[in-house]
Amino acid sequence: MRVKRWMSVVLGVAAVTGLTACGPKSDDSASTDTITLGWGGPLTGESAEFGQSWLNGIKLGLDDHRLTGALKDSKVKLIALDDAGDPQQGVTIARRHISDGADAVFANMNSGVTLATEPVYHRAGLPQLTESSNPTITDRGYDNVFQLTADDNLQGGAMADFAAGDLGLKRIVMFNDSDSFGQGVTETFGKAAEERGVEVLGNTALDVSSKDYTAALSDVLGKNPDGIYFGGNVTVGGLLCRQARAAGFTGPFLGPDQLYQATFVKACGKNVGRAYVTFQSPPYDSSPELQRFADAYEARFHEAPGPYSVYGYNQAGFLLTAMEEVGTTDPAKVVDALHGLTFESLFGPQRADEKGLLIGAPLFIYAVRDGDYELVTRAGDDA
Amino acid sequence: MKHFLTLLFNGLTLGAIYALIALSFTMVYGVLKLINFAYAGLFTLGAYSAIWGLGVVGVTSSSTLALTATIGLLVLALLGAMAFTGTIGTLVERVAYRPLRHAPLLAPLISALGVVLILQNGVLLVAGSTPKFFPLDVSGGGLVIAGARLSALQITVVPLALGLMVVLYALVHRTHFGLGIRATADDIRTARLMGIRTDRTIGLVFFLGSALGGAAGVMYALYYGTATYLMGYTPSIKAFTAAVIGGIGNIPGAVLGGFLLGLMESFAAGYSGSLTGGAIGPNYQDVFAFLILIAILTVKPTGLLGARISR
Repeated sequence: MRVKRWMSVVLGVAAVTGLTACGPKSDDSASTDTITLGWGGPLTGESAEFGQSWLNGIKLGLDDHRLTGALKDSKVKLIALDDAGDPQQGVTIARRHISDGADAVFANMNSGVTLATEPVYHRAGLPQLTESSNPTITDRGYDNVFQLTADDNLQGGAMADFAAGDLGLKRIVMFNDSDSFGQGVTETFGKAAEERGVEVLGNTALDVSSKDYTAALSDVLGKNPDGIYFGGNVTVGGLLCRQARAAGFTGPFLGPDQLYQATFVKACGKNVGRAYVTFQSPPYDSSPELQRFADAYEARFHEAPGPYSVYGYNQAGFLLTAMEEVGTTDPAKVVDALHGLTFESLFGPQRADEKGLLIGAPLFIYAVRDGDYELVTRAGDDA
Repeated sequence: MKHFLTLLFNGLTLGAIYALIALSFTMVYGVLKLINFAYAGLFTLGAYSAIWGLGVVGVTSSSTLALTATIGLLVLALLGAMAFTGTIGTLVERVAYRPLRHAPLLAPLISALGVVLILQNGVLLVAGSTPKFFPLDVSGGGLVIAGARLSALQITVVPLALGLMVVLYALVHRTHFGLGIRATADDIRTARLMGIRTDRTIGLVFFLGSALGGAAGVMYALYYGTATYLMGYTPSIKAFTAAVIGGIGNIPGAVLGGFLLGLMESFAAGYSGSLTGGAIGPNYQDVFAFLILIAILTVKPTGLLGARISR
């Protein structure tokens, strides 16, 4: 009996070491044959719709890009893992991508997750292309991080312009969902609105696990605001809008890109009323390039492109172009190349600034109309 | 005044929903001394089965219906969901609790936690993680009192919870079947010797409790318009708390506890911001509510009306 138990321990240890030995990839030299790219984003949970459409855009972008030069014969392999919008999950995935030998990563979608994974990817030196919009992401000094989208400073400022100018609002109340994205974008909006002479009557943090914001609404609606700004995820936004309308609020309901999805309109219900959101993509019929992209997307995924599909497509091209330029997947060289690169995107030529943030990112304001989103104006056009 | 009334109406509505689940907790606890956490899952199942049932009949968010048709469909959906969750609840008792009836009290509790995980993940597996929307919308209508709106739904939910409480109370204290429940609660062995079919009685208690939990889920989804697979977690913890404040095992206590908790939450969220100059927002509502609860339990550890179902 004793001997048997001792033997089983030895066997167990042998099995475990055997497993770990074949875990991580050991063929570093083969990196020019296969370009391994990691993806981390939400495929389940609150922002699954965003995550999936971003991922699909990347897939299309990677397939459409003909590799040239030294990487001509390389194959691109994309490993996509679900972080469910959870920072802990995001970090676990980051470690997996690193141990799986990824050459670069697309990660992540939710600002809270990206802020958590940045240091991990930075230590590994991997180029990280994020779709998150919190300004802190590129303010922390990580040279390997690229934020190729409009950040919250732009989103908050554009909506403040629109609220003060086009809508002529004077007294606004703000809500956020206590998450890093929601808090950040709400604060930038509030600051920008005050600079434009709008009175901000308060910024209330809401509890995501609660579904009842009636009490919080009742408190601030007593101050007679003429507009509500909400920064945060779509579920809270939809419920807040619904409960604000039920409480008899008829003014405009404003929000960031997270509210640009059908879920918002459905969750708010029939009385959605006047609602405006900032969003980073123009309508697909606004240019032949975008129309071609939309058609190709629909042919492949049998659905219309989602909110961030164009961004995924652009980022895929941006990354592969940088790799071609240096003729290798060596992370340090690719990071350098990404910093200087002017890339021909679906929106025209684009470039990142020295922090890694997209210069002159386009931003648009949409209104909810008949259960759908309709373009109102391009931000900055009438300023 | 308007703010106060809005908070009052909202607190009563929340309280009614908590009270319904608290009634389920209290019924089962009264008879078996078991905290049936499976209600978190049954609550979710109730909401999803109603949405699914309405979808099968062809009702979608875009359908326009007359008020009478809406109410008729709602009653049918509610009854259907109650029958479904009642059946599942009885099944859960048969499979997960009955084999453990003579085991130490902690064993069925762990089993209950397992049931919650299975039910929630079952819903996740079948329906996915994206939120579902309740196809009927009754958020309009109602009365306006001193500027505060009391919606048609709010008017319905509160009397419904009170009505169910009265029916349950009468069932337990005035009927032959209720006598069986009370006898089983007092002493299960003696009750069996006296010819009471205790297994059947317990099964029925589970059916009733689970049906109430399912009904609460339908109302919650109706009130907030959305359902997610994790929706049952927070309300069921709150309802359990409500049952404990009222005195677990006590039917009027569960309802009192439910309303008390709902009102405390609503007022805490509505006034915390203005009382603290914005330093503490409504996202701390639960902290306030639970501080008061701790205070109540310190003074009255058996709960406000603390007594078991039979006494």
